[in-house]
Amino acid sequence: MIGYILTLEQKNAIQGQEFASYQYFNCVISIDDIWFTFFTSEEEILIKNTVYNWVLNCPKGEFIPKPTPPII
Amino acid sequence: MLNVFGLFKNSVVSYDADALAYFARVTAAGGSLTTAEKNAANTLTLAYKSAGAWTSAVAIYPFLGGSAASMAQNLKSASFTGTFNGGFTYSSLGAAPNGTNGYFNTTIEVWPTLPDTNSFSMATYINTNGATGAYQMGAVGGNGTYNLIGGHVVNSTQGYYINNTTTVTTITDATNINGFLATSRIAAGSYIYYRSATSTTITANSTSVAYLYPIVMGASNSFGGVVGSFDTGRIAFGHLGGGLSDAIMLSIRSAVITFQTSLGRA
Repeated sequence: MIGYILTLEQKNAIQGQEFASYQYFNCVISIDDIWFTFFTSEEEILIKNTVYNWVLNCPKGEFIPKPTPPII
Repeated sequence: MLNVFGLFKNSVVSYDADALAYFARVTAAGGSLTTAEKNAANTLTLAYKSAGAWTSAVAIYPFLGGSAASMAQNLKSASFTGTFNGGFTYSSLGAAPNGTNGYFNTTIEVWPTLPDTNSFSMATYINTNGATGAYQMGAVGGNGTYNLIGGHVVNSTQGYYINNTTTVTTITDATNINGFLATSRIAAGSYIYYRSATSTTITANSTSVAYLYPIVMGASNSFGGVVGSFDTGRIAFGHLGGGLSDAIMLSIRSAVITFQTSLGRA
């Protein structure tokens, strides 16, 4: 899946922040220890009108999830 | 219906007071509900009360209104309004997580909200298939206690339905993971898991209460509060509360399926 690539600072700037009513940023780390986030096209429209619109200018890349240890 | 003057008579719908309060919360949040959605929510409310499941419920999420604001609202009360995190697609059919970073946070920590180790139930309804390797709902406690629904989290035929226990029982279920998914415990040593048309008792497990990490939907909360195992199944209902007897849970299952069918979401 293609997502927005974030530096650690950028990730810390948005993680858990609200970008629209009841909608919050969530970042995930890739197999290469790179932070990513993802939006639908509708969410991008919402983000464009916030102070976080700079995220939409972050580079994009293919996200490969880190093989997380099983919860069980 | 025509009155004596041959004029159409307004049909007056009398809504339950708790349903009305939920409608008001949706409106206050900036959302809106159609008449059909209001009627369905009202019917669901009445079904919960008729079944004897209303009082023990902590959260009932009907996922109505087609927006994050409306779907975050708890039918049961003004408490435990949820939050959407990561990528979701919202529609009248429910909220579909993207399977990569999207999850719904109920904010409900089983302890201390539901501290009785032998009384806990949770349920969801998804109307598209859940993903292999994903949890539909749940959290892991800091003490290693699990409350999880992950029908095919192990592989394409095996998963977990776990309720207030550290004991893991692998369930083999080759069918697609969708519809009504639930667990309910009312005693030590056993609990029941439910799908839309079946239910099975799981025995020989110790009970304890999962604490620290809130129950999420569309994924699972895990050690350290890190959410993972993201699902793609579109969420159309959620429930958390005290344990329900088999008879009551079957009534709720029927009510939820009726709810979904009435809205064309089954």
